[in-house]
Amino acid sequence: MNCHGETEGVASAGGSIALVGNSNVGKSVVFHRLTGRYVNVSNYPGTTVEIARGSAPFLPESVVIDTPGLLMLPANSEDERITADLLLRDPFRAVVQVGDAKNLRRTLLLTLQLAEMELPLVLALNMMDEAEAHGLHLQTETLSQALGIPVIPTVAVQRRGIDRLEQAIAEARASRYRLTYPAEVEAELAPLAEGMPDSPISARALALLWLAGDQAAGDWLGQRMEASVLDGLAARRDRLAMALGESPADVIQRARWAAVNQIAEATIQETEATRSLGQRLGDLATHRVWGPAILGVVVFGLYEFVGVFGAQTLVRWMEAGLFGKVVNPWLTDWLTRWIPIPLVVDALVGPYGLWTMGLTYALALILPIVSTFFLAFGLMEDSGYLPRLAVLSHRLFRIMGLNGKAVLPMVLGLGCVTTATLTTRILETRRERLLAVLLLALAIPCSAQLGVVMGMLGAVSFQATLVWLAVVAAVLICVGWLAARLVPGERSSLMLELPPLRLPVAANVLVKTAARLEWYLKEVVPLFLLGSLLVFVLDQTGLLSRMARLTEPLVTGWLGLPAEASLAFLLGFLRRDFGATGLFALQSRGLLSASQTLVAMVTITLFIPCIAAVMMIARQHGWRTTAAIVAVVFPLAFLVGGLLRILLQATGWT
Amino acid sequence: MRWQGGDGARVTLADVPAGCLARIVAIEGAPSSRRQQLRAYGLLAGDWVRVVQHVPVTVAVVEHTELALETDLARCILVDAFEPWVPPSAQPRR
Ligand SMILES: Nc1nc2c(ncn2[C@@H]2O[C@H](COP(=O)(O)OP(=O)(O)OP(=O)(O)O)[C@@H](O)[C@H]2O)c(=O)[nH]1
Ligand SMILES: [Mg+2]
Repeated sequence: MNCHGETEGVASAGGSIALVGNSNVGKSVVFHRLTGRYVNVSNYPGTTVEIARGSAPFLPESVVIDTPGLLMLPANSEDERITADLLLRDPFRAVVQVGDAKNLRRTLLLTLQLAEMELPLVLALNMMDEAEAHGLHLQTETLSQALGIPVIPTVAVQRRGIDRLEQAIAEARASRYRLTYPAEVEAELAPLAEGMPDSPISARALALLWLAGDQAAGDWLGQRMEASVLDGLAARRDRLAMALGESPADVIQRARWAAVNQIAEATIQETEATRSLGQRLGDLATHRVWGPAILGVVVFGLYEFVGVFGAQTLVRWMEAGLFGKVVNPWLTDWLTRWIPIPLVVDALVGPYGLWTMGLTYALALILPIVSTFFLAFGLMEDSGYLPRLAVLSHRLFRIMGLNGKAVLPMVLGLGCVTTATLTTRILETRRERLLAVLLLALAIPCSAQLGVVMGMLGAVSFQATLVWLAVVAAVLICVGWLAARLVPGERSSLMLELPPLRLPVAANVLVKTAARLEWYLKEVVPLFLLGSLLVFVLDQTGLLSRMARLTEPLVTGWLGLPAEASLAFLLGFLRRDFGATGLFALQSRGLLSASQTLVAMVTITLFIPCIAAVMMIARQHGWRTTAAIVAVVFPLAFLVGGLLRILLQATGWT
Repeated sequence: MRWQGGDGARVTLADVPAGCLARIVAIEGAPSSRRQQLRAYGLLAGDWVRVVQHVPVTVAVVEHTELALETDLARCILVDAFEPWVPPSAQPRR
């Protein structure tokens, strides 16, 4: 949601250290502890979908790398593949597997795979606090001996075990754990490993990945081998499958599980533990009756906090009080006294002025709304409630050719559509990612825009906000339904981990809220200012009316808005909330009636989100797909806007 | 509600009443990658999992994780026994 944040260059003469592990086990918290660099931490699987680097003070000139979560190899979704590719591409000084101590067996399944790669490996068994609460006692010493690698118990959120972890990383040695597979597999493995090109991981591990049908390994080999050689390898794999009578992947996995169970048996002691309130509440949150009821309470709470406290109480206090009574009169007075040029004064504090329109709007009206929203959003992310929404909304997403998991990028889109576009990586098929991106681009307003909509529609009536919501939701579902029927391909079935409900970590929520507010102030507010300036200049030069005449048939004829609104839509091409600035100016001059505001808001909501989001879509899906999405979104936005106007007129709504 | 396999019927996780523990025998019917993922989560032959609910989707507790599974997917997970689950606090101390 902090739409900024590419990885900065960091010196790595001392080698790099990769943090890998299942999703939502605390890799990013460990990353923060090791590097001091904060990356987003949330309580749902799939928070990290990009690689992040940070320098490690405990090991001079080395780099720590945070990666997207990986259930196992072969990787299945796009975010998992990023981690798989990374392991094949970069030689690491050490790999730290972060594991969830309360899910030891699943953790060990990945440990065995990493150990086979013969990379220097350290296992950080994180969330020891939760494991203990579940009545689990883990013999880390036994585990360490069985695997031949250091095993460090940690509680990353409390910084427990981090010092020991740092020490273990500095001393990490290649693990020598070696699992023996059934004879048929071993017979193929040896000659296969022999012929493998040099790679950062052991030839045996690479050969195993190939036998298991790993795509990342397949692509990697494809780049380094002649097609004929690769065909030979494929033939070997097929032969093995024939000999085994089932897929080699299944046989390999079974052998690993046998080893895992043996190790786990020797290390886990389980005593009875009572179920915590969080666990019981977690079950209720997905219940067929209680689930929707709890959702209702959550939505009501959000509305009270963001819609009433933020958008009404705080806004009134800021807009009418602080800015209206104190700051603006004082500034106008001061400027008229000291700057004798009326044009400049007008540019600053006139009706279209930079300050009176741009900043007042950005700070007094939108800021309180987005601040309360960011805070509430951070709490939701940390609580572990979001994945439970996937359960509740699964049936709805099925209609749209997706599964409940898609609710994660959609909800994140309410924060920032650009980062949410990146999060569609957690969806498994290209078709699902495409459908999700289309819906994000079309009908999910980002936080800045939500602020605008709530601010402007709030001034009209609550009913108007509801109509806006209903229209946008209807468009979302109809377009989703239609797209699911037009885009070829299958839907993948829902399979999603539901992390325990946790009390949000105050520091984490505050850091995240602050980062998002910084993004808003640094990247959105300047655009508001630019927008105001542009409106002012165009108004002064008379260009505004000329442009308005050009787009009149569409804006005035079809949407029924005043001609001046055309500028807002032109600006909306750059950024939809930016375009709303112009609409706000019209509204504050009393040029927009209630129904016109509603039509304008619906139309601009359905616009393409912003340039950054478009670039992100292009990066992920290529320009042709992006062009197609844009070609669908813009006409549709105007179509729906015009139809809404007709509907409102027919029902006599003004 | 206790059931031990044997009558030859195909019983799956989707048939296990909510609130029961069920023993997995096999996963069949799902795409190979899904089968592997389910096993990676710990849905292995011989293991017991707890079924929390079926509507709107199936939720099962595997090891110490709750896993949400579409009901069609739960139908691919064969079980050979199930019995009511007694929450820890309700169990008599041994
Ligand atoms: N109780 C407890 N919670 C933890 C611990 N470490 C991390 N968490 C919480 O676990 C959740 C996930 O942490 P992240 O660091 O985002 O996990 P991740 O592995 O980076 O997750 P992905 O990026 O989604 O793969 C957050 O809510 C953390 O606050 C721990 O040691 N104990
Ligand atoms: Mg992460």
